Amino acid sequence: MSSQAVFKNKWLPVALISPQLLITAVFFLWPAGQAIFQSFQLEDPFGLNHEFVGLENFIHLYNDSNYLNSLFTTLKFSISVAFLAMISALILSAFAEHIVRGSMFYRTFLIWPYAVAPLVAGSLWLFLFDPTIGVVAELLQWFGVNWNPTLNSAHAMWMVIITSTWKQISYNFLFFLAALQSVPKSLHEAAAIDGSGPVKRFITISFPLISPTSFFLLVINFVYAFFDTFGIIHAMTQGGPGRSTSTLVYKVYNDGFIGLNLGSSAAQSVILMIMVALLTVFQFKYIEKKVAY
Amino acid sequence: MVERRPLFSLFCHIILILGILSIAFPVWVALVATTHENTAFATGTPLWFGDLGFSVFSDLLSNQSTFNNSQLPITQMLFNSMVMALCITVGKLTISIMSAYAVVFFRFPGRMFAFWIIFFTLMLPVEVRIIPTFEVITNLNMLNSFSGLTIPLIASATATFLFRQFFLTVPKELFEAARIDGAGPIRFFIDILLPLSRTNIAALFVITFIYGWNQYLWPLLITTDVQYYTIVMGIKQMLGVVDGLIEWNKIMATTIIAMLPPVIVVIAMQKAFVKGLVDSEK
Amino acid sequence: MSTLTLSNITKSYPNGYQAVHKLSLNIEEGEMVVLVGPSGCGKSTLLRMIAGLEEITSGNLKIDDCLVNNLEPSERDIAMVFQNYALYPHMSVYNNMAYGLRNRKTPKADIQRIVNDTAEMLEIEHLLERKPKQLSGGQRQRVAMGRAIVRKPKIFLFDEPLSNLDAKLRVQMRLQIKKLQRRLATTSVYVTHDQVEAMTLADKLVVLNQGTVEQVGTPLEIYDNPASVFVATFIGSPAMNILDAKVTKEGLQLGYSLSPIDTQSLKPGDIKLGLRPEHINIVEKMPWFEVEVELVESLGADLLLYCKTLYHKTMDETAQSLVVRAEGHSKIEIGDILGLDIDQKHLHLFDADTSKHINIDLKMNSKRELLYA
Repeated sequence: MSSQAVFKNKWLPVALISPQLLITAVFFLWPAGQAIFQSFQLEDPFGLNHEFVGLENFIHLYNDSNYLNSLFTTLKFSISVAFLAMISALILSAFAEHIVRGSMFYRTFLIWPYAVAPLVAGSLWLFLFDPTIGVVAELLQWFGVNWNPTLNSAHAMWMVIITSTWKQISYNFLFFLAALQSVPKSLHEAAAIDGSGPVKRFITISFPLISPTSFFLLVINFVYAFFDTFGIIHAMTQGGPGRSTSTLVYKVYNDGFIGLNLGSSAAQSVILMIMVALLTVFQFKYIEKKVAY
Repeated sequence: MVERRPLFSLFCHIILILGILSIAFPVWVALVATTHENTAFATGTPLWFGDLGFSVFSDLLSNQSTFNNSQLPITQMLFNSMVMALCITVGKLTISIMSAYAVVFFRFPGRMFAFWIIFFTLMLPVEVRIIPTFEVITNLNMLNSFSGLTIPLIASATATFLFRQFFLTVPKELFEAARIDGAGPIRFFIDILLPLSRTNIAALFVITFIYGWNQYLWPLLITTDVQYYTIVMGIKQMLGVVDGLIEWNKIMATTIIAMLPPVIVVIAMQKAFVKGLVDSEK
Repeated sequence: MSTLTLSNITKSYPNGYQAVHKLSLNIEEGEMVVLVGPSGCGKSTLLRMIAGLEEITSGNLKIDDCLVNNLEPSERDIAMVFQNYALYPHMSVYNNMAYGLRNRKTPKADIQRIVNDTAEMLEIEHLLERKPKQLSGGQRQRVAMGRAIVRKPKIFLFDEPLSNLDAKLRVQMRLQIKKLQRRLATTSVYVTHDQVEAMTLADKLVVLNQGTVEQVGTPLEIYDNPASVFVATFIGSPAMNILDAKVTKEGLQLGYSLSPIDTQSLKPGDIKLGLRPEHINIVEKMPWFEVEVELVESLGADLLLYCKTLYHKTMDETAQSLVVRAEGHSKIEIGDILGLDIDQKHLHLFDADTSKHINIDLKMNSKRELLYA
């Protein structure tokens, strides 16, 4: 909107925006500041004493094999989830694009897992993966896999990956389908006249044209796997066995809330904040999120 | 579809039906489980309905049946979840639409500053500032309260940006016509802008309701009083039986109950939901 | 009925750009004033300042001798018809028209009566329950008019209200606006870039250029006596031909052709000639100058001849282009050489430097006969 089309009031807008600013200041900026402050402090669990320790908390983390393992776990987990959720969604949407009648029906029955809470998804799949009674576990045992996610870290990892993937397919599906549908029909028609079939057209025309969407989804899937899967992990493995499924977010919670290691937890928070900030900047810069001001 | 190939079409349908079935499979197993006695699972989970019918559901919902480790009836947890989801949704929509209105239709000192403050919330999800936020809530005496459960979650850059984006597309002549027609800022907002924002409000409503209903980490942090447990937290508590039998049939029934409200909202308001998802990522 | 007085109105933007510069204008009661000019001339900005949608940087704006510079649009008692109509998309036609009245706390019964009467006048009474989306372009335009009329404002403002309509509808609506304005006798300011619209609608025409008034007058005054090259080329279709010429003692020299005009009152040197296509005569004998026809456009009643001045081959002069309007069935073809002349009462002279009109009575030089001897 060009500059002239505004009301002249000066106080009304301030009143309108102040609830948002107040909440942001109290519940976002203040805690974030606290986290930064605490990350430079060493505090005993009872909060009685603290001292300034500089970067010690960060150096600790850098030298802490647990932390580095957790970072590695998070990456392994996120890459797997992003890859699986995107591939399955891409396949489904590629076929859905060809459906003339009933596409609404398919969409309806593919998007609902998005609405399921991560913890609830965890609960659903935990039942399937339960080593003694789970249906999937039974199937795997029939195939000769000695399925036991409570003891086997690889099994535990697969369990959270599959559950997280299940929840994210809907989202990717919607975006892939929209992108595929926006590929100009004339391109397909031209290619069809040139004699290429649906599969070839998908590979040579659709897929290159939806690459911006794929790139965008890759970032979104990473954000999801990093930050929105706490409920799944908490329900299914509590980060175990050992620390094999303890992602960075889970570790912040565990170290700070359960382990009461405030300085270390704050330092981890700060690192996560930097990661989110980078991802956000990345999103805005390279995916043309439009907030031009 | 460029050319007609009935066989290929059939193949597409088959793949999609397989997709739907595998995505729905966990819910199928869960639903089947609710119709069996808990003892039935000892010999492996059944894949076809038992003879309990809906009795597990009705027992749970009429509060006749509780868990060995839960002190709060399921209806109370549902109520808590509903209050939390609705408060977050209404609160978020209200303060976001107000902020966007202020930023787009007014010029005031500190406008850019305010904009950046709101922008920063994008970079600070609860997950990355767990402990300090908990401390702030403690200092403000908001532990174990609905205000603590909801207010800190209603600030939202995404919703504000979405409304802002929409307001920017409102033709400025409409604003001018309203001014000539004698509408002040409040009148214009209520008479013109809100009605025009209907579809955007609906879209955000769906997204935010799901967000609110599905909150887990936040209530986990700030509620210790079982009185404030949401249904999502209730499930976690039921799963956490240390010794004794996990009552899978009741847990699965509760799980299904917990996922129904957001799933129904998504399916019933599918158009708004898709719009909300797509718009909020723009 | 109201008067509108603009004195020394200036609009400058923070970046230093001046859209309107010290503009003064009086608009009488019941007058239809049309502001016309090319895009960027400041006409819309001026209209929006009158409406109160843009702040006036300096100068005074008075409605009925009452300073309104700092009044809100709604307090100025004006109504505006927008180019894109700006109808409230979620309201019915009835509510669109009633909205302003409701905000003014007009009693419900009155609103109903006024809206119904106005709808009848505009022949849109059958559309009152519809939403803008369900209306055609012309119908929307009428609703926008209706919304302005119901308020019985002191002044109507029109911001290119017809430019979103197709050509045929535009002519129809133009007539209707004229009739309505006559009937309601409300002071009106109308902005357009279309000079035909401007000519047909205006009681008083204001030609704007680069934020200042080039000329004010009735459409005919402006057509007959354009104050500058700018006005001359802007008003009239096809545009007036402007040719570079020289004043010599013998007459006006166009290329090698000398016009037998008494030039004693002109200062020697460069000058610009203005010739309206419709005033140029094709003559068999004793032409002033000759042209070659490059293109012929038939409009039915008329022919438009796009010509190039033809000079003596030995003279190194750049050929100049001009348009001649000829009778529709003239047998003229591309490549024809025509001799042209113009009645000196239709010949306009403009200063070569300032482009302003030179007002002198041109007399035929008595030596005309000699020249062609």
